[in-house]
Amino acid sequence: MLVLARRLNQSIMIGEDVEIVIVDIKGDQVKLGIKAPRNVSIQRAEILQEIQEENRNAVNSNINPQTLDKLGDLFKKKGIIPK
Amino acid sequence: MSLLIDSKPFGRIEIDDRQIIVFPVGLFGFEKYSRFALIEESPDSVFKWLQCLEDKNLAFIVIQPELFTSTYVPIIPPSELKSLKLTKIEDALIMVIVSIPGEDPDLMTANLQGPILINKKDLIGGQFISRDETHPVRKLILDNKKTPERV
Repeated sequence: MLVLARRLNQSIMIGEDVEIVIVDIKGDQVKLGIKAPRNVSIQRAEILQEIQEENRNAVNSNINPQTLDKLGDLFKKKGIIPK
Repeated sequence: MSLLIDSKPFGRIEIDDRQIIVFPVGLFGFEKYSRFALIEESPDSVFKWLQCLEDKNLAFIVIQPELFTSTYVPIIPPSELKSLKLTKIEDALIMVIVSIPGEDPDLMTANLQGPILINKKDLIGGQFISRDETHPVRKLILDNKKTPERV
């Protein structure tokens, strides 16, 4: 991993069109400004990790399709008709 | 055109090729799997299965979120919708992935933060991150009276 020291208002470039600016530093919190093309997806890493983990969790749902369909009947009783 | 596939919930079944959806970049944590079929027990099944065609043991249970939450609209940047050849979210079929704990199915949850969006016309799908941070990764589907929690 490349480690760079930066001061307030300094920035780094990633490639030609992504710029990360240090906008504010308070205690142990750093505010970053990110300038990037619209097609670059920017996410907090922990959100992505949480969704990955939940996907793995979901795949391990062990339920047989008949039991699952019975659970679905709860929706039909409520009058919520699926499309 | 119909074809035979091996599925985790139903074993070998016949599906229509219009049920096959290509996920160009897979799902989060499952990036290398790109072909899935949307299958169901019967046409009016509430829960459906997103069955991977490349691995029989990989199948997600999915549900349309409007069946238990009437207010949910994921916030997805238009630049990301473009990857599905869509310009607005209203044109997408929205499904969310369900996790069901083996010991107590009533505690099933849906992932509202990472919805699956599908372009039904071009049969392309993707998993996206809703920018509304109030959308939880684990939203209880049934309330304690065992009815769908519709708020």
